[in-house]
Amino acid sequence: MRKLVLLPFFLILGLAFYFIYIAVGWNALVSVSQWSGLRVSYAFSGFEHYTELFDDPVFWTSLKNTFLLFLLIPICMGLGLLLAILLDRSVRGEKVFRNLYLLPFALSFVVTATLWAWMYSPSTGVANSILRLLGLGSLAGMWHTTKDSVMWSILLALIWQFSGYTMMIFLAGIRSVPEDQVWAAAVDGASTSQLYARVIVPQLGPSFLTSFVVLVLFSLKAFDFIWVLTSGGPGTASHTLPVMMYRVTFEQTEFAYGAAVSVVLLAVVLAIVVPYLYLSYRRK
Amino acid sequence: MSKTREKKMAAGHWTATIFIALIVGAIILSPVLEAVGGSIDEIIEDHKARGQLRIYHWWTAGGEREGIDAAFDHFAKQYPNVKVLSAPVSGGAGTNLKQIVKTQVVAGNAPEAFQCHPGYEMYPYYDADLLYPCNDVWGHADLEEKTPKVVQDVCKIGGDYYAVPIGVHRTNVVWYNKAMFKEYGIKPPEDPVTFDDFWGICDELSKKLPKGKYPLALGDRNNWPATHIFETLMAGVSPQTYENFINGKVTPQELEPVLEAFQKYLSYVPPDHRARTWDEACGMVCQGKCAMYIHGDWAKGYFVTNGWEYGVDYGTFPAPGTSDWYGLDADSFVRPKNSVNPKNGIRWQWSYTTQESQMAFNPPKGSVSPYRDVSTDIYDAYSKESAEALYDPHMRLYPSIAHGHGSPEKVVSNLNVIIGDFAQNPTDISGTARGIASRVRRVDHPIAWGIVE
Repeated sequence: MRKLVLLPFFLILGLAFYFIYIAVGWNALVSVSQWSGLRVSYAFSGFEHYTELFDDPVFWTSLKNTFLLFLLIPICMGLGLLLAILLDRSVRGEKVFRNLYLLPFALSFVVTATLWAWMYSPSTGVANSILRLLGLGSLAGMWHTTKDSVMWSILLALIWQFSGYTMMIFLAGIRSVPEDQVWAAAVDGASTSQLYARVIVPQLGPSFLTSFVVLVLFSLKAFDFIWVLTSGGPGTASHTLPVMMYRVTFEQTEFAYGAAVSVVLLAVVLAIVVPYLYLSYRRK
Repeated sequence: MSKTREKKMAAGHWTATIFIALIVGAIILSPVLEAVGGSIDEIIEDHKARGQLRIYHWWTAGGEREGIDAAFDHFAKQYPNVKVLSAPVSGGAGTNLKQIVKTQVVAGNAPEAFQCHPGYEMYPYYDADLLYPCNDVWGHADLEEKTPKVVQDVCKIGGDYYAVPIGVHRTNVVWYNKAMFKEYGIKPPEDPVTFDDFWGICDELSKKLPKGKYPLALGDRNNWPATHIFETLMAGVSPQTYENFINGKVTPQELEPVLEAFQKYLSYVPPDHRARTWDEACGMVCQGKCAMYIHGDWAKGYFVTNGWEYGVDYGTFPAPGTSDWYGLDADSFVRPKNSVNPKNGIRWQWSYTTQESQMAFNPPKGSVSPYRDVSTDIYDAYSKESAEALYDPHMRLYPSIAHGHGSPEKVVSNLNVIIGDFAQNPTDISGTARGIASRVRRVDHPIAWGIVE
């Protein structure tokens, strides 16, 4: 009977293997195939899609923007940690603030992108209106509508959306520090800043790693927010690798070329995630 | 035999049974593909037909939903035993639907029919031999007799019909705010509308309009509304250039005057046009912030929803240089291979070409019937004019590029990016013209269009 109990387990494992590793392998296969349009062909085409890719200026813009989104990581972590510490100082209405900060993360990217598109609207949007109200009219900008400011506008909106999430992770981390250590530090006469800098933050390693990985993975696959806010434009100014992949695959029906883009994306993911896995396993 | 061994055997037995059950279940549940056989008359007249009709379409908003539901109701009356599985996929102009349909059709899990802009949008499916021709439906319903020539042409590839049109939109329309025209003493131009007339109105308006109001609107956050205006101006500047463009032969020299006209259009629009979608641009016209907008006639839906009346609050005239041209944006259904009940796909295509279905579908959708035998009395004032223009034998038609008829999707996808870029920074005309021409000429253009006699 034990075998029978294990059956669903193996079934799930098999499905997971199929949908993850086989799919990844299949994607790599398509990227070197002669698949053209909707005519399926697995005949080997050499690495022409990759050479084409490396000659394509859109690819380099997309890669640069994908890396630019990594700026999210330090900013969201810093902001999240700060918010978590402030909340930990048992401010009044902690629950309200906690939920308020977390709320953006609970919303769908399509909703928030539409919201930010309205807020950024240079003539009628709230962003410029507030700046003008504060007498900072000279700072009122074109936001997501020009090449120069589009990526920064996307970053700002994503910081808003992700900081609440990192705050939750850090708050949970802070709360799991044993109370006796906090008391001991207090008895030894540690100031509040010393308490955080010397006792609590050094124990937040797992929280840092978790939020790091989540933010890295998000920046690498950022698509829906950007697609709704800018469609990758103006021109190709806000293309990221996933935006490029979508356009090539589904707008232009170049499945093989799109697969090549995603293999590059996978390589970037692995370059970041493998060291992380290595580090976390070595520690154990 | 020991107890444990007996247990093990029992377990093995069970595993085997479950596996066999799973396999048998999978075989039973896997749809048995029906062969297309029998004459077209037999298929269409078989009102006791059974099976399913799975349909992908992107009509999910207001009136369009109503329209397609009415067409389904009509189908259900004709074939009460067929189970209609409507699969609406929201997302303007089918951007999301294309993604789903492409994967499903390639995977061999095709619906009986899916919505498609006839012309180049269906070409990848044709090229991979994934579509059924539908000459028989066209023949059975006598559609050639009833449709304008270019509507026939967009539905054909290599001499065979692959799509059956359900409704038609006009793209080359200037929408204007009547109250603003009155307030600033502007008279709408008379036919034929020339570029001089159009720019004259724009100049007069920009002299008279206060700060914060503009002669023209644009909402190109999703790029294609800018491409839409670009193609309309191209048809107005020179139909020959348009024909060369869709035949993949356009030169940078031909494109320069078009980009100059587009640059001039852009000089009259609000600077933050990229922050808006097409409907928000219509909103600028409604609020009296912009006087005019070149857009397709689905814009009517926006004005109607906002309580505007045609001829009272808003008016239209043809885009400059295109008074005797009809920019064609047709909707149709095609039938992919590898569906479960292909005959029901035939029945569906036939059912929506009937007068009853056409009359139920087009008025709420805001489109007009591609078929001349449908009375124009069923429409509101605007659509009646549009339908009469479509059936006018002197009217010439051109297939829209921005909406997937005239040019291969790779050209459209790249054109959207280049035009979106130019709209934001309209300075480099010769560089942009070279960029567009090289992107067009690099792609194969297997369909040969003849729009200029």
